[in-house]
Amino acid sequence: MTQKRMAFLKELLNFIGIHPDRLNVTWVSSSESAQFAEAVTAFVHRMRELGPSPLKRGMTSSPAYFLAKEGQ
Amino acid sequence: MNSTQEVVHALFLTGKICGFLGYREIGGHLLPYLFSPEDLHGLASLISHDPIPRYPLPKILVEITRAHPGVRLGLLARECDQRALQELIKRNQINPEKILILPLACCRSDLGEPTQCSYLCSPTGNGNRPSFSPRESGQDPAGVEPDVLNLEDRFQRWKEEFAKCIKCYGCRNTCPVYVCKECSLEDEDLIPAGQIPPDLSFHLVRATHLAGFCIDCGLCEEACPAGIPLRLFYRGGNQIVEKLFGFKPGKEGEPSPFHRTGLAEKGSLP
Repeated sequence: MTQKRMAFLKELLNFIGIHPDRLNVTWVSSSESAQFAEAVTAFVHRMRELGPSPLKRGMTSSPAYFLAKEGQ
Repeated sequence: MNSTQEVVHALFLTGKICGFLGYREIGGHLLPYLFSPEDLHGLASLISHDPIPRYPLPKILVEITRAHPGVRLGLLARECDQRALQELIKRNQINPEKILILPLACCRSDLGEPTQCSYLCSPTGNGNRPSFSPRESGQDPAGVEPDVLNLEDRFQRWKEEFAKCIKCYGCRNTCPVYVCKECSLEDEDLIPAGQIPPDLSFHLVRATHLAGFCIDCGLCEEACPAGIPLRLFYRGGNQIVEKLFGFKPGKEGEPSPFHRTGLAEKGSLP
């Protein structure tokens, strides 16, 4: 079920314009510390590549964005 | 008596139903009404009515049958109502043996064969008259097609739509398949009170809940006072479910891939 939901959520984020790589699930056993470190490091690297989240800019409306685009 | 009244009258006479959920004309408006055998006065035949009234009759049916589980009711069901009934039956919210559907063909959706869906609102947005000229799927009334925008533009586009939200819960309250007894959108920890517009998660929670469940009736979009293209949004969720799992809601029998049927999961990922 989680696998199905994750596949759906990644697509949903993509649909609304958030990069699907920003969501990640990895199954790691409590004894597999190396795999855990690896998964987290890989995720952090990917986040650095993608840069700050667009959500950081808040939910306030800014029609200026599209107006500026149209003017280009 | 009009044709609908005659049919319902016959159903009452043969004892097939003990109540009928339809529309009654009250003060010039057609409103949902539960008719009893004694009084079919005002039961509207919707065929020629303009504009066509739309209320979530399946949801009203669930509320009535929860209070009176024994009764057998008939109801007037359009295409979208019929899809909602199917989904509610799959989720054990309606006992199919306790309902009798009087089908009415009117609204169109790509979930219902064989017609193509159109937005119920005309491009100018006046009224809820069905537009029978099919529009390209994915095209929304505002004329911007989120599908074709790049990631950042798409985010801006939806962010601006959701920034209009006044958290009135109209979309949820009118939704014919929303029959939950508890709702995470009322959870203080998830959706803090007094914050407008609500966090993006408000809409993502609804989209996730409705994925493979939304029957594309468009009532949410009609109800939204802020004019957010919610139908387009939830349709996006359904398209993802169809792409990943080959499932379309609204048909008899087949449960959604997110439906919990016990330990055995159907439709798991390849």
